[in-house]
Amino acid sequence: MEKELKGKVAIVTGAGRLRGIGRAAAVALARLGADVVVTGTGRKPENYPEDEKAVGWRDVESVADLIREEGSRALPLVANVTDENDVKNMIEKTIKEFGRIDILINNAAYARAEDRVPILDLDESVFQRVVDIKLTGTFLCTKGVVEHMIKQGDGGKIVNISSTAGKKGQENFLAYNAGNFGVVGMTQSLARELGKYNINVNAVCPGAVDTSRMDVVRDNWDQMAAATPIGRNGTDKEVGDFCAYLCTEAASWIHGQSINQNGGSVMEH
Amino acid sequence: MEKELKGKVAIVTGAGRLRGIGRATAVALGSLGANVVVTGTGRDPETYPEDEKAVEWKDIESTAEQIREKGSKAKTLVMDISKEDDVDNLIKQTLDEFGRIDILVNNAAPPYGEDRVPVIEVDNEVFKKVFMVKIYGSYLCSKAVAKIMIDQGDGGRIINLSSSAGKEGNARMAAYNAANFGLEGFSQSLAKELAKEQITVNCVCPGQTETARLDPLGRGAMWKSKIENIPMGRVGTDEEVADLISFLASDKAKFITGQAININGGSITAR
Repeated sequence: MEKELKGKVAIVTGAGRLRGIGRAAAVALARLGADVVVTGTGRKPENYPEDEKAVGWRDVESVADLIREEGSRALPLVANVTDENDVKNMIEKTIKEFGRIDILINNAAYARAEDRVPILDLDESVFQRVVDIKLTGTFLCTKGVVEHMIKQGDGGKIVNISSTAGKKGQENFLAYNAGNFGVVGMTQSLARELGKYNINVNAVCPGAVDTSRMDVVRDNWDQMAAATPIGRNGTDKEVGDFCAYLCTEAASWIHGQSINQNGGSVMEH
Repeated sequence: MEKELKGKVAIVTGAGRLRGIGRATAVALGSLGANVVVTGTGRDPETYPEDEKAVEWKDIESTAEQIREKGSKAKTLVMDISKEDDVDNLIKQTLDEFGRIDILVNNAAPPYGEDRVPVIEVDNEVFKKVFMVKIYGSYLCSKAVAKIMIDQGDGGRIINLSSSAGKEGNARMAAYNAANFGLEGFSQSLAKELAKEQITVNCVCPGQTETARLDPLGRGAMWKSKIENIPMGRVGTDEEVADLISFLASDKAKFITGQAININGGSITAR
């Protein structure tokens, strides 16, 4: 049987971590047959978590290897999604290498930690960085990709990674709440705009998911799991599989939605 | 490759129409390997729409045949899901035939029609009937199935069919709006209650879908004017809704619970 996404080309931003939604989504798309461009920020290897060091992880290069193991082509890139030139370069290289773009997963986000403080302690530059990556980054990548999708004339799929923080405000989450609510708003707006081109735009809003992004909250990890109705935190694979599902032809009538995947922790639409 | 739902047993209520979410869902689950029990109300063949008559459609018996063509087992049951005895019998027959229950799709709904009038004109029995099927029927089936799932001890899936009408009120839709909003509240409550048993409970909320249920709307100017409000510029198909339900029924969706997911081409996005 022909793989569902055979012949499709995807870009997944923020896909350099060993334990991460970006990697899981990229591999899930490859498993369905898509060729995948993965971007990372060029993290310094000395900052890698222990488990990445232990397996000789090489950021997006290693994710590219995982994609190739699924039988798809991969292109790893270092790119800052908030930099216009970097995004332009990402698009150009994707087109040069694979000839088209069908799928974009806007997953890149600022590392969690210094933004989780009361407003009076929140540094302006940190606030700006969180919002900039989530919103300007999603805007620039989407703009660059949509131009090609419209030209290609056969639709497309855009999946934005928001969060339960895009549905419900929480104390000391100011920047992250603002960024993720913003992503939900952009998803709704773009869906209205791009529906006529058969370009689906949706967001996935994961709850607590076991990724290295969350390593800074491991002290509360079991408590977070216990507070979730289903009694555990999510896996990156679960979110990656859901993203891939939303990129299939069968999901074409799901449009403009920001769908919670959180074990029941948040039911706000 | 092993089919995703191999060994699972599903119940889909209201699965007798040729063009319908129930049939499409039952067949989709069957094609993923699940054995499926389908229920219908025993519609009078004389009332079948022309396309069903033309292909000699036989309600749930025909749905069952489509499931068998996919290589899975099927069982049919004519019943009223708002009757306790009927639901008890549904559970008994399902267990007798297939030995377990893993998936329940509460899809049954009273036909579109006499409830779509101004509140001051709606017949009280008609209003109650919408509730009895959508809310009380889904409650009875969920209650009975949840009990079995808890005893089995390896989780389960309950998927309730709500609607865009469960997200936004509209004139002449009081009963249907109230029932669908209510079903979403019911689902959230049940999701929190059953999560610890690894039983997920979600609603699927389709927008305008090409099914026999919506035949009373005709396919003329009114139908087309409604499509103009859909960003994707088209109506949905029963197969598309069935595919989302199948995803929610799969192992991949075990972290999605308590949600009411729109599938509507973008017509409603903010709730």
